[in-house]
Amino acid sequence: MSWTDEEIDKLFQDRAEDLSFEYKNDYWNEFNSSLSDAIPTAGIDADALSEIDRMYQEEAAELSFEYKHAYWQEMEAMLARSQSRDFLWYATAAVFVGLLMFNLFTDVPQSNFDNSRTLTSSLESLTQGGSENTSDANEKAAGQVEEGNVFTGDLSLDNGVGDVIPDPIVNDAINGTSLNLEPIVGIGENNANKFEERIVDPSVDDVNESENSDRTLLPGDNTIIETIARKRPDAKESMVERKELNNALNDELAIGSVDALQTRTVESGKIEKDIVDLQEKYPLSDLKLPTRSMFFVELNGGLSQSLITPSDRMSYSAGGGIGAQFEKGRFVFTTGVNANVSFHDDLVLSRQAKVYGFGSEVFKYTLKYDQIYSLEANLSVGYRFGNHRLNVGVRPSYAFGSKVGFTQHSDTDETGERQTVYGHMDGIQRLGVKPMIGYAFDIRSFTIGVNVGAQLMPAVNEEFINGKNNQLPIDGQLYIRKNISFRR
Amino acid sequence: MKMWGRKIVVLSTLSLLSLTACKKDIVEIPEANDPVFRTSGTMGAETFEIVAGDNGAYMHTMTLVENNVDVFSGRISDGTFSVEMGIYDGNVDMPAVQPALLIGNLSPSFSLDSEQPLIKLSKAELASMAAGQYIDQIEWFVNGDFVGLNEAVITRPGKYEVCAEIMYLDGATASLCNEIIAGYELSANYMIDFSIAEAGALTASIDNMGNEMSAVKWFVDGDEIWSGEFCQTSVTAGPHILTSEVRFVNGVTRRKSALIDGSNWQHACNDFTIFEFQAPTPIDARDFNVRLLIERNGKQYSSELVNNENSSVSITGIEYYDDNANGNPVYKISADVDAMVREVGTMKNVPVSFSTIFGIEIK
Repeated sequence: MSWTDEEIDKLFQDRAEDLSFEYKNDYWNEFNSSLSDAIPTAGIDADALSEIDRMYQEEAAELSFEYKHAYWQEMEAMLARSQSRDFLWYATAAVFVGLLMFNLFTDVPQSNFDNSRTLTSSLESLTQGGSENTSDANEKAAGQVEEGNVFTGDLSLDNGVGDVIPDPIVNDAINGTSLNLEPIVGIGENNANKFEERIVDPSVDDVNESENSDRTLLPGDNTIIETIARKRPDAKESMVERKELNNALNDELAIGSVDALQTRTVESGKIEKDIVDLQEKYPLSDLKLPTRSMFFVELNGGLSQSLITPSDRMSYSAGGGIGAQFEKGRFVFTTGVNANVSFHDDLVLSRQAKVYGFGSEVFKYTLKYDQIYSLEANLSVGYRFGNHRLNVGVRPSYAFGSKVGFTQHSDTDETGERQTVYGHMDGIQRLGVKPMIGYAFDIRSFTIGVNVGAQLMPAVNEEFINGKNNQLPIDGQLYIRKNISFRR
Repeated sequence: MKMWGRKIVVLSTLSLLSLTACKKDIVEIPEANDPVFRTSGTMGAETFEIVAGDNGAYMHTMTLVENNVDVFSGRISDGTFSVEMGIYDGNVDMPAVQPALLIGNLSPSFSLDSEQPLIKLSKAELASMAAGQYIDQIEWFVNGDFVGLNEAVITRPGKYEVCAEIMYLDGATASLCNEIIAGYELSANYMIDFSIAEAGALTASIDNMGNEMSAVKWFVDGDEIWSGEFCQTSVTAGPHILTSEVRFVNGVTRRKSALIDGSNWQHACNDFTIFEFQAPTPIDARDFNVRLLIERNGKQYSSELVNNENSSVSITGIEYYDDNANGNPVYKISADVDAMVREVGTMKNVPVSFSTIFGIEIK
């Protein structure tokens, strides 16, 4: 089986997108121990390491890749595809006017999504940031290439503030394994030299480099920061393997100058083998994705078709409540309860009653259900696309109160006095169920969403309301949630 | 996070408090119902139906008093046709009995007004007794109305206040009043035995005629002077009214009076119990009898004017309904009636048959 560049890229991106797990120190320790097994460094003394470093620097300095515009175009194509996808999502979000406006005003980058502890979002941020950095680096590299047209060294990413992140480390962080992807594109001699300096003495700037990595790659993402920061000391360990790879590379270079494409071609078999080996050893499908949970408080408002027919009126609702949200991979399970008040204009009962006794008396009265108070649960499951989420669920409700205007007329007096009473529920069916679909958008620790549902159960008691139950009245609900995570 | 946790707890608590603290009003929504009182049937060849609440019909309820006896009555009328039905009280000598408890268990008959004497008031009867042998004449007054000199007759059932203006042979006069029950069953009775000696020494006792007594009180001129079956006291010179009040074990309570004089034993007179004893036994006591009054097109018809011996009133149910405008309890009586009524002032009898849910006031 032969892997092409695009296949490898796609494999990498797909896997990275699918990844989502919480950082845990135990996992990291386990990972470290596996690295120790794979690349034993114990017993290698400092002199040997210095010798290795020296050899690596020498060999790396001799690397020379010819710039080819075709490669650059290939990378550009990849960047453009990524940007197009984001634009599509923003365009989709634009349908929801409120969300879009809020989003535009806040201009929040996706990397700021609050789910910073998930590797998914980290990877997305990393991917986007890496793309940007790569783009920046390529621009710089392009400038450098224009000066020299040839550059050597390993792939390094300039974050734009002078820090350099060596690509293999990033790759390691992304994969969560010791995957040693070989350089794909050389970016610049200067950058390569910077990396080489760190290769020579990686212990010197480990901390600073980690900090730089924090600022560069993942602003606000502690997990990946920790991931990278913890990875740095292991660079020493990986150097042995790097050296072996470089030796193989030098063998190739010995016949002369090799361009970047040739390097990839030469190394593709090894990459393929590495990937296969690593996948066999650490199959991504075996990753146990943790469940994240958080609470939220919610405010909502909505519009609904009239509960009765015939009617040309709408009803409005507002409410608030609390709930909890559980995430398992891309699936989000939501449960909550809201206290809602709905405002109605057409739930009227006008009757006259002839009450017999010693004689009889005719009473004419009007009951107008102005407001209905209810508790509404929210049970839904959603599928996350980055910061976007599609939900489907059900909202069972229980009406516990009402505000009713009661006017009673006598036979002789047509202008009865209106009195407001609370809790009269004769005309209201207390139980309701609304299946719904919805969309939600996460902004920092807030979630804004809409739900569209239809009331399945009869909402009014027709015996006490003028009109019949509207069949499946549809309502729309806009909500904003403040997400509260009780876990650090 | 702790702050948010507290906020959530506080908000949730406030929300629950708000919900539970809401005032729950109860709307008294009048609900339509079926007619409560109605009467439908035939009178002669004419059918009728009166529903209280329809076409201006109304169920009037009241307690009428006929010769000091209550008649628990109701009248349903639409203005042109009315049916009045009344049930006479029974056990009139038992004031503590609740009539409503008895009516449902009875099979009442129609009352009948007749000219048969029920009570004969006679000077001779009183004069035949030892205490009245010096009576010269008596003017009889019934319920305040003069009804005869020495002799008088009571023909209608009732509970009467009978007074005798007595003139003795020596020209002295005195007045004595007693309650006489005519036309109703007496569940117990008694009379006063007394003797008065010189210097006003009075000895009195109750002749209970075999009825067990539970309490006896003695009064002289309205002042209670003694308790017990036997009374011994002295009275001052001049005429006095000796009164006894006896409560029997079966619930009967009667009050009777006799005339005494502390200075002249000849100026005396027994109570009027002798008249109740000598009254002819009524064919049918009026206790809980039913009377029917119908007004149709301005003409009045009465069941008491015709013999309804073969008529029937079947009470199929009685239950409390509500208080009427006077605040008295009204009972809803379901009954089937077959009777004969006579147009007042004529000899024209008309058969009437109807079923009714009727309201009567029973105090």
